[in-house]
Amino acid sequence: MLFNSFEFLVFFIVIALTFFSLPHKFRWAFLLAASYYFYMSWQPAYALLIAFTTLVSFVLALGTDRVKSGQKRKFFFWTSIVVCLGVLFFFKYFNFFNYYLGKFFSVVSIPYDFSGFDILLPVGISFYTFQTLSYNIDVYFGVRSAEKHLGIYALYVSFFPQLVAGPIERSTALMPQFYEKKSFSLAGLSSGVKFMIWGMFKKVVIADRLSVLVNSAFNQPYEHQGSTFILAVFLFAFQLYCDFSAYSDIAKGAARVLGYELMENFNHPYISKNITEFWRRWHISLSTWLRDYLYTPIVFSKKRWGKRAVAYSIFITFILCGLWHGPKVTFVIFGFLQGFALVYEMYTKNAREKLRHSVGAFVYDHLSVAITFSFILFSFIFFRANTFSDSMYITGKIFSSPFHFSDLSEFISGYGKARFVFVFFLLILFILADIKIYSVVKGVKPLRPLLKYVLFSFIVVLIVLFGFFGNVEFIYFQF
Amino acid sequence: MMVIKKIIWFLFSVIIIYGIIIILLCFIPYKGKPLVYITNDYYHWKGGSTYEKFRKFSSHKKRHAVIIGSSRAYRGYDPRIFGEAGYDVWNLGTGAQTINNTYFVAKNYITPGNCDLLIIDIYSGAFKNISIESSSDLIQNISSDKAALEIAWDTRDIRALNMLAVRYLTANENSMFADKDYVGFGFSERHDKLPEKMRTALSGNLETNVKDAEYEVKYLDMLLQFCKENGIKAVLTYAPVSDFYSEEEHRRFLAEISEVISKHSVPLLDYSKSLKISTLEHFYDEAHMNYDGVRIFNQALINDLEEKQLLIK
Repeated sequence: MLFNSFEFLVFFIVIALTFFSLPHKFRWAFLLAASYYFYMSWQPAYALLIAFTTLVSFVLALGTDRVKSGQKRKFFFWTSIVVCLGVLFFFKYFNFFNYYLGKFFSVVSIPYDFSGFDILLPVGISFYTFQTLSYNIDVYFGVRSAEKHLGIYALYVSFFPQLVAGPIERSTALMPQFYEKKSFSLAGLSSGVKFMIWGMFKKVVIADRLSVLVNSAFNQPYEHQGSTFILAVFLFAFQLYCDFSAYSDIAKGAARVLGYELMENFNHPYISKNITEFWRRWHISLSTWLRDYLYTPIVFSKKRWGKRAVAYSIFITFILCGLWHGPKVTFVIFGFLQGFALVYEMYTKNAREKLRHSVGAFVYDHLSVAITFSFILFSFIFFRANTFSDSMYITGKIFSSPFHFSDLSEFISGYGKARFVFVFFLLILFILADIKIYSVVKGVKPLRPLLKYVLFSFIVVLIVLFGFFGNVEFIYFQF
Repeated sequence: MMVIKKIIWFLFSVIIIYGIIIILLCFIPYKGKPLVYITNDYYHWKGGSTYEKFRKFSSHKKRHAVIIGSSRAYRGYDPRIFGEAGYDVWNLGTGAQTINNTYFVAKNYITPGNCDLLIIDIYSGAFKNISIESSSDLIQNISSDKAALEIAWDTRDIRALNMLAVRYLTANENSMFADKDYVGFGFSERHDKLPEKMRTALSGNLETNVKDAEYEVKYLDMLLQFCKENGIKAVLTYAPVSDFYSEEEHRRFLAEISEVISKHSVPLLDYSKSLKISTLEHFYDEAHMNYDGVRIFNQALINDLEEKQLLIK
């Protein structure tokens, strides 16, 4: 059941109406049932997997909490980590590592013919696994006590608005909200619906339309030249941002209608002046998770190394961040590139500050945004390319034939010149209006009620008239 | 009460803005056609063979048979060949017509008074659950408003409802283009053969990925039930397929529909591989026969229908 489907609209209206008509004490159970129903609309059998992960992490966290010190406490904690990561590893990474194991054995001439398991990746496994991990780590380090209510904990792991593509919520932020008595509010409804409308616009009017062009370039790379790939990567950057931030907005909006608050996951990442800033604005729930549970512990464990500990930690964190997206070499390269840029920025911070003073803030900042965005585009080649050889080919073409305009013209004609101009017009409109409209969505920028009606009615009409309703899944579902 | 009032106001403003924009898109021309056609995928222009055949089809004239189905129907069954054998036949096949849309076409156009035998061309591609391509053409070009409305509603896609709005707003406009292959009686013909580049790439793996087609099979069931209730004879035919077509896919498809066929005891004439039709000589693309192929197939079909006493003069 996709957020951008009629089924979800009906599902959500029924859920919201029923939720507020139920007494508070039954609401958690109702939301839990609804969340499992939502999840089972993809792969019913995998509900058992999420239930298993939930139960194991719940029981082991209780064990960790009861035993205040010693080996037993460590045992409970590490078992919870191993089980949660083990499930994630088996379903997401086993075949990847098995493939390279097979390659290794063939190099050393050892017969190995196990080709892996024929398994389907459970939707959202990386997201809910990270939620259970953060919970178990928090309990172990005393950030919070173990949750005593299995139902509430299960709801935290499976809460349907953010179950399959985040934001990756912290137990300390979300779980207490399930105990609060929520009453219906017009302000919550209005604000939540605005988030959902803006998210839908980004998904079906921008991202899904761009996906047609992006897919045709990246799925048949050997038919195109560098100029086409430059356009395709540029469009992919906005497809990815609109797709993923749309999911986060719809999730945030849906939760807000029900009275719950989810964290902000994006903050206009493409206006970043450097990669460090970019990761403060892009997929915030993942980057803060990695900062708190991976980067910082590594830095502390290697603090005797000084600055090198930070560089080491950045590389480890971002290579794993790349791998988090999927078991592909291209994601590892994506992560490595991000790590490389961050380390570069760390070592050149003072020099760049000096340069900023000498050339002037205005010029420097604008150039920084352009350079940062160009670097992001470059790294997105690896994020989007289907295979490593595709990514190499595309990179090569971008540098060898960046001005091959006849190929670009043919590519655009294949889609329809007039339609391309129209889609590009929508994209430019979005780029120009995104920050302003989002501030209205968030309620930061006040707008007269009549204007608000007109603005959001207009966005709904754009969705209805120009939306691409081809049941295109959200990109981050695969992660 | 306040909430309901706000929702009503919001919906009202959406309707007003929608009305203004769709009117502008329908009446601002771009290269001689309304601007709306460049704004989305599967927005079918007004005109072509669908526009012609439904307007020329007389609901009151008794015919020996009517053919219905996808492009393989309107490009694969020539009513003129049936005419040479003494039968009055019309073809109501349309591009990419899915089985659910076939049902709505039959329901709105076929009666015991105008059709003795309904020849339903079946093809696995028509059992895919994506009907917007077919719906867009039908909503824009079918002559019955009721049929257009039913198809738009059933398609469950906002684009279909937009097309419905365009249909009403451009009701007084003329056809914008003609199908150069269209020869009348609902039939379009081609005489060329498979292009050179396709001749070297015969693969046998053309698949439409039919599986779990419960939704589509339900509509086949409803279509056959409709024929039964109205006393219209029905026959399912599978026209010849090219060597591109996957045999595995074919078996899977027949398995999907076997239960419904037995339930209604409707004959299925499967010509997919039974005739001496060559992909290189008798097809002009992966899925459609040229006129030489159509002639061989139609003659065999007429013989079989006569033999089974389904086609009676």
